[in-house]
Amino acid sequence: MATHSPTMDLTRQHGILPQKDMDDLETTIIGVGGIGSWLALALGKMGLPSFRIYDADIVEAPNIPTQAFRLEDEGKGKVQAMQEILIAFTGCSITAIPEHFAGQERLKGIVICAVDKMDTRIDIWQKFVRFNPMISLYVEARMGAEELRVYSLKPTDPDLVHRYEGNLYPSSEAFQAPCTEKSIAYTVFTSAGIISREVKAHLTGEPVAFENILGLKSRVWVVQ
Amino acid sequence: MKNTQLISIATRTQPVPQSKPMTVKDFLEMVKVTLSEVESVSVNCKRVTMEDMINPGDTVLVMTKIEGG
Repeated sequence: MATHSPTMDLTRQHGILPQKDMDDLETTIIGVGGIGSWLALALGKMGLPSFRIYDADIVEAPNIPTQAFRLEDEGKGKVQAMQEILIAFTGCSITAIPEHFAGQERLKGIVICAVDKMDTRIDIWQKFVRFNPMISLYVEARMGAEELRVYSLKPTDPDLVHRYEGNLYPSSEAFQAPCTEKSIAYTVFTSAGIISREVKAHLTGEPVAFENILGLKSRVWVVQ
Repeated sequence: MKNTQLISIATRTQPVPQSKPMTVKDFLEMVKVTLSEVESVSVNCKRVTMEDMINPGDTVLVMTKIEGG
């Protein structure tokens, strides 16, 4: 169900991100966990007007330190809680879909993939994103404790498609951190900032960085 | 002999004494990083290939294949 409430006064950012660049913009976020929940809040605060968010998970107690949910959200569906938070904090329009994304609709506009398994990323990419001309910007992010990678591309650019696919690997090859070393707040906050910066670049016609690699433990940031 | 700074999830941050330039591949083998677990390597904030060179004193960031979201 879509909801909408009064809009924010964006005066303080008009010179950075003009509102006219965001009219009629639709943003889909697939996965509102550590990366996606803070990102939704950040993009909403930037004035992006309309979101569709997908996630079938329930808020669990260990999610709360690293995801945007409130203590009272434990036991709620993530998209339901996220919808309440986004409306309260930004007043944007949100459609909350309490399901894993499986092609329920044709993806378009800005699409953020913030799921937590590489196999899911590969599936979404291959079936619904690769060479989809309706998607203006595709962003996919991954994190591991104090490391972060963000890929941003137009999925109809053959060179970028080739480069992106060179950075995909199955979940069976992914590093499995101990359950007490999976994530921490500053990594997810940073991911929201980096992705939001690339979205702003896309909206204002600046070059979008294909790859951001951050080693937060060592404070190394590689951009290309 | 200078210390090259090695950064990775697997090894944590550590100085590695290095006396001469060597390829990324040789460097990783020297510090016993398993190549199949490596997603990418950056030297002094630039992404490199396994055939590129690492000089003593460089900062080497080894990115593991991560998948969290």
